[in-house]
Amino acid sequence: MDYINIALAKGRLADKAYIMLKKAGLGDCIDPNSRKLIFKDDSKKISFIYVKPSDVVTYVQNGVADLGVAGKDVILESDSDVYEILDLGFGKCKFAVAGLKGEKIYKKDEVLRVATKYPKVSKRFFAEKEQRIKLIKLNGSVELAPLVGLSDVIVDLVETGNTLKVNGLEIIEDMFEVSAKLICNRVSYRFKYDRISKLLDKLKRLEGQCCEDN
Amino acid sequence: MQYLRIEDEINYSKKRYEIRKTIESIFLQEGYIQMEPPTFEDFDRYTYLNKRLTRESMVKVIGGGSEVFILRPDITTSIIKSLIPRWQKDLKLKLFYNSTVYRNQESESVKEIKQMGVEYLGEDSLKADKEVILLALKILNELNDMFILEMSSSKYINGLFNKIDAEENVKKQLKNLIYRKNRYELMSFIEDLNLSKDIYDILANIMDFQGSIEAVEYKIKQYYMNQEMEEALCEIKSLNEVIESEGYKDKIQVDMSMITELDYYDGLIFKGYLPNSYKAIINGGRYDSFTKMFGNKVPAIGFCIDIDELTEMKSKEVD
Repeated sequence: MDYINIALAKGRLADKAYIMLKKAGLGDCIDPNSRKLIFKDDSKKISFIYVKPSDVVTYVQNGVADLGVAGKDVILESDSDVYEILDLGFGKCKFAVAGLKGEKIYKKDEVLRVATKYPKVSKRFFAEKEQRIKLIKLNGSVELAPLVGLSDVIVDLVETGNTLKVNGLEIIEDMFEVSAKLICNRVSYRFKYDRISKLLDKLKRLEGQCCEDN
Repeated sequence: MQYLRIEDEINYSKKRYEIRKTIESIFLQEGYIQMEPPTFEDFDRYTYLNKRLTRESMVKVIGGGSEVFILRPDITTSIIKSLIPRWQKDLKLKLFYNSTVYRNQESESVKEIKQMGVEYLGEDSLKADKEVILLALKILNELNDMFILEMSSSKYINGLFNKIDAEENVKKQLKNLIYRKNRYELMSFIEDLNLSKDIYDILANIMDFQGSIEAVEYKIKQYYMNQEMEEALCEIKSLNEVIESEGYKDKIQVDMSMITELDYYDGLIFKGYLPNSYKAIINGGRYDSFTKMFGNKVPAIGFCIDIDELTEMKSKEVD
């Protein structure tokens, strides 16, 4: 019987994904303290690979992994063609537009400068609001952009809002919530349907037991 | 494909030739006639007729008098566009192509995509449905007998969506959630839609409507159905008979929540998968209403085979 390969994101979601798998009785072969990137469970015919969060979707879409645990933020930003078969309930945070405190700066008739790590999400959101924007793609420390005058606002993931607060920014508008998803390759879904359904049932039964945020 | 070593490139090319030969001989056996659509299309006319392709994705070419042409981005549209306006009553055509389409892709600029496929035009629906689905099964079986064919009739979802009183973009979002089998977000989305109970119940359970035809029939009969949805079930059941008699029954997965990337289908839709490929090898369906855009409504069904993915997969098998 073939293995089921699962891609897990390193970083923010890794620990919670590990706890969830462990509770479902699937993650016994994973050693969270090891720096290894591949773990195999020969008896259960499951293997896990650890990849960069933004790459989980790529691995699944190309069928190298059958399943993957990825944040909705990454999925939205990647234009992917995968199934999102389960919401895992952890890794909850929200997309928001933030700007300098006290300055309400939506300007319909002017171009709004938006700094973000998520150009596609931002583009889509402002297109719907019919707000013209100039996108500034950054790779980190997005909060800095309005402070130094690089942009008017930022679009970013907000978990607690602390980073915004200490930098004198505030949320102008909540966009939508995101959380971790179990994604599945479209072909794997067909060929390994029975095993994937069973795995889904196991994970569904965990709902409400683990995965509390923060 | 680009290879560092000449040997690998030749091997790839050899493999691709063999695959094309195999498929072509099956097409010929079944009485299909080869057709080569024009390479260049008029940009404005094409984008007017075929709105589902983005303008950016088309490869433009400037003619001598500064007219803008595109390299054909899709074979079916080109064939239909040239034949349907001149259509004669009672004409029946079985056509196949072995060809290349061109698209701009973000990652690698202009991409040449190798495709083969058939179009069966003018034949009474059920007869053509049967013939075409058996052809697809035959080809998949020839390539790898571990294949799976996923099928549905778009009339089921279309019939259901006709009963949903919502704006077009809401329906589009709904379809997208079903397309991605995103049950969780679908549930919270339909909570807010103010749907009647029978429609709500179908949407909430639609992703379970898959499996063998008997299992699917049993499930969907417990829910609301209108005439179009009944037709969908009927179509699939009558196909199931021929599939069974040809011995392909265990290769079929019916999935009533199936939604295709192209939205011009109106009837049978199907996808063929092979093990070790990561996307569908065969995509097809019935598209009578698409022909109507070209002046005549003609019964039409066809499918397309992804030769690039197939060759790559087959080359890996040898290693």
